[in-house]
Amino acid sequence: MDAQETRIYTAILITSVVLGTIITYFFISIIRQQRRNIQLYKQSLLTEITTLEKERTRMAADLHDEVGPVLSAVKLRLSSLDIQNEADELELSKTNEQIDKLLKRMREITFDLMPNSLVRKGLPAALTEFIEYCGKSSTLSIRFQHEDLPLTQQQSINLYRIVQEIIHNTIKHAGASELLIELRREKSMIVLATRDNGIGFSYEARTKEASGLGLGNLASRTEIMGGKMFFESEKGKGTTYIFEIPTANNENSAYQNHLSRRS
Amino acid sequence: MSFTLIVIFSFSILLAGIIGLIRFSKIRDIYYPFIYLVWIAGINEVLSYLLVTNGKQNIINSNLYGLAEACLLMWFFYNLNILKKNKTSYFALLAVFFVAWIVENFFVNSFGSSFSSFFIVLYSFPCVLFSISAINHIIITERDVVRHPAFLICIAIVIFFTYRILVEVFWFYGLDASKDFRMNVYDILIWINFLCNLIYALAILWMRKRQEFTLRF
Repeated sequence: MDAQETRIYTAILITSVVLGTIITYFFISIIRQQRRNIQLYKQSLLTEITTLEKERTRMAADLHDEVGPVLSAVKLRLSSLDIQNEADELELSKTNEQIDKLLKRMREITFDLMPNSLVRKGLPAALTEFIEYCGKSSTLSIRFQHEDLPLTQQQSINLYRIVQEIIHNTIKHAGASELLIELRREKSMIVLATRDNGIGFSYEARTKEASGLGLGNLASRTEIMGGKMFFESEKGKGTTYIFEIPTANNENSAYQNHLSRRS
Repeated sequence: MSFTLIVIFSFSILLAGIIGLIRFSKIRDIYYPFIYLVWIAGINEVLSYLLVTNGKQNIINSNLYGLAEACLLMWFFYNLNILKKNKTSYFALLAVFFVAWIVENFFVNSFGSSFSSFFIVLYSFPCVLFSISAINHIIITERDVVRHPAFLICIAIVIFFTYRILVEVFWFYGLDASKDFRMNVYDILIWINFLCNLIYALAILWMRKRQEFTLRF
């Protein structure tokens, strides 16, 4: 290379380095901005779901502690009436039946809002109870396998809601006869895996309408636990969901801090 | 730069190719065009080495590789949904590339007489633009972008093809400069190519079979 070419070559080298620096800075700034957005988004999701769960708990408690006893008292007082007239007795018996139905329905709603067993006995017991309840009203056969896991209360609630949503989706959309639910620990992860033998679905189609179906809900709850949600599904080959949630001492510390600040 | 170093840097694509071969069954099918591309790139590098060390030119295989690279990258971007699954746009792009390649290799130059620089610049532009679109899409749909294979691949494509356009322009116009000058300019691309091959290897290593589902912001 002559002197002129050397100068041009040096200019090209400098241009390349400057261009490289600009491109690198551009990508680093994109990644940093994306991380900030994730933080804000998680914070907003967390607030939304925490508020929702608190409201559900309050409503369940109100129904259980206030409406339930009043209804039982009404039933007791009606039973204590001494009625001679046959027509009135028939009417009273119908009223008693309606109160029984009302009490049963109220217990179902309370259970749906916030099962007592979830708070008192933990996730496996609550899920077993919920699966038994679903077994009575549908033909879906559900198998539930689990290990003893160190779950925080919030993780239990979120995982319970996730399973609840999957069972509802399977009954409503999948056309499956069997559903397997596994809850296990893998290294520092809690893994919830479900597999059905239903009709499956297309990922593209489902993601477009995700907000209208339960997938968005599942993803939000996974997101606030700092976990990841995967699924494999093909038309005619069933659907598999896998949720990987970091154990409480990892990702969820932020979540716990947030909850303790709010309560 | 010594010939040995050039060969080592060029053969670094084999690392990505071997990882792809080992992990092929664990990789989602949307990444297959990229894996095929890495394998073809590896074969092209080996073939080029054999031809050059036997005193022959590697123009024909390099030009054929350019055409394969353009088609496979468009297929990859199509799978990433950059073309909104619009098959007409996808086939129209392939047709444009094919016609441009034929025109440059058979009408502008005689076949095998020179590298198709015009064609390289032509398909490098959409590659860079589609990669930027893919990056924009990934940052709103994915969480861990640093370990996201498509994100890494697109970054490498932006870097490599931007420099490639720059370098090819010197080959295209020549600037009446000496061969040494042009070879020195080309050395920049060899370094960039080495860096991108390492990024490709990392991306293939992080490719997963399972479909992760995340919410958009």
